[in-house]
Amino acid sequence: MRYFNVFSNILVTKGACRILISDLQRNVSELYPLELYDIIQELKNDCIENIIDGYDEESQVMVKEYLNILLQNEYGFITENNWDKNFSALSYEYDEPSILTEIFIEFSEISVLRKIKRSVENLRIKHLVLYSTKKFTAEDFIEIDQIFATSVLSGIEIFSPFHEDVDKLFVNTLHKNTERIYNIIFYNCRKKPFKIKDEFRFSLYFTEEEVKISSCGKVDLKYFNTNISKVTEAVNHNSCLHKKIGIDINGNIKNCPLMAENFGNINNISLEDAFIKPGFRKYWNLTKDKIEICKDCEFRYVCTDCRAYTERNHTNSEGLDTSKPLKCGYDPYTGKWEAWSKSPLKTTIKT
Amino acid sequence: MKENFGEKHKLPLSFKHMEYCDHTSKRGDKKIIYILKSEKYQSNFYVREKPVKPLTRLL
Repeated sequence: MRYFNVFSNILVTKGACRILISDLQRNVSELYPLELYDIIQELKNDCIENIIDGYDEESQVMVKEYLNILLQNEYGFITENNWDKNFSALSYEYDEPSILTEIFIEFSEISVLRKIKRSVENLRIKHLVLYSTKKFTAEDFIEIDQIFATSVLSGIEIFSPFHEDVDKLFVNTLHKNTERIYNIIFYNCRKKPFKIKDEFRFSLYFTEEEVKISSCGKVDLKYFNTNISKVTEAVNHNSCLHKKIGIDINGNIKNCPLMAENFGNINNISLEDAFIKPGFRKYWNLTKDKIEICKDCEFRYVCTDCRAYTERNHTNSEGLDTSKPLKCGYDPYTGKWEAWSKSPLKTTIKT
Repeated sequence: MKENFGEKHKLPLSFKHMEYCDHTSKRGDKKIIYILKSEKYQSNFYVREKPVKPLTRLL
């Protein structure tokens, strides 16, 4: 008798019409038919021979084919006489020592960054994302980076409009004089000033798109991630708002600059004080398993949620918005993607 | 599990066409590690890190 053992690092997420198998060691996910889910479950309870015998002749060929797929992709291994009990299940608990992990700021003035510097240290914030409509000079970029020199921030990402001073010399100046910036996106760029090679200490993007802050919240395959930190956070918490804080252009402290509710203004209150206000953490544990439609989606643990733009048609008993993200064009019941903005419900926000 | 209402065999399989995801979101494309200073953590070897997920989805 042969037994199939699924590796501990393999996470199978069942959707309404497909399954997603995530390899949390190789950091890849693949889609498979729903019936493979049943076979994987059967393989946990019975030997391979008995499972094959349970199917009609034609299906037996397919069970063998599925077994080959499981073996070829190294989702598990076969043992004789019994399962190998030496491999315990992987824990899906999530632990992150930072009180907050990220801050998303809609840039208004540099003084805001100076104001939050102490709070960033106290809250052990790891990442800063800055969205600006102001055209930053090289000095601006360097100043932003230097405000957080020797801080706990381990990365800064900046969205800024492209302007004619941005050329290779400009970017080289940033390369030589910044440390924490890992990503720069110049938007509204009609023509790339030079060909980008992998030569700077940060990733650099020029995009023609007129990126507005309200463009955020898109759900797309390109934003899905398979890695154990992301997946375990999504299994236990809200994949967007957990440990996030935001400041909008008026200095209002929010869960995200695009959310409506605010917890005070940065001119009057610290991030620490906003963080302990009632309601600040109310969305933190709203997992995709509790969000309508998403709860039936096979991508629910590799996708990043959005609570700022939702379909606004479901609320739970605690008053939390449990509607599907507005900018998601995926239908887990058909397995089909379509442009999210096609829906008549969504004509007001086409960004 | 599919229900079996007393049939001899389980419901037949269909072996539908399989799709593969694009693996563009793989991390660790760059092998260079950038080292920073952090006063709070009293470290000269504080590693610059990209987040484990996209913090914004603007593009």
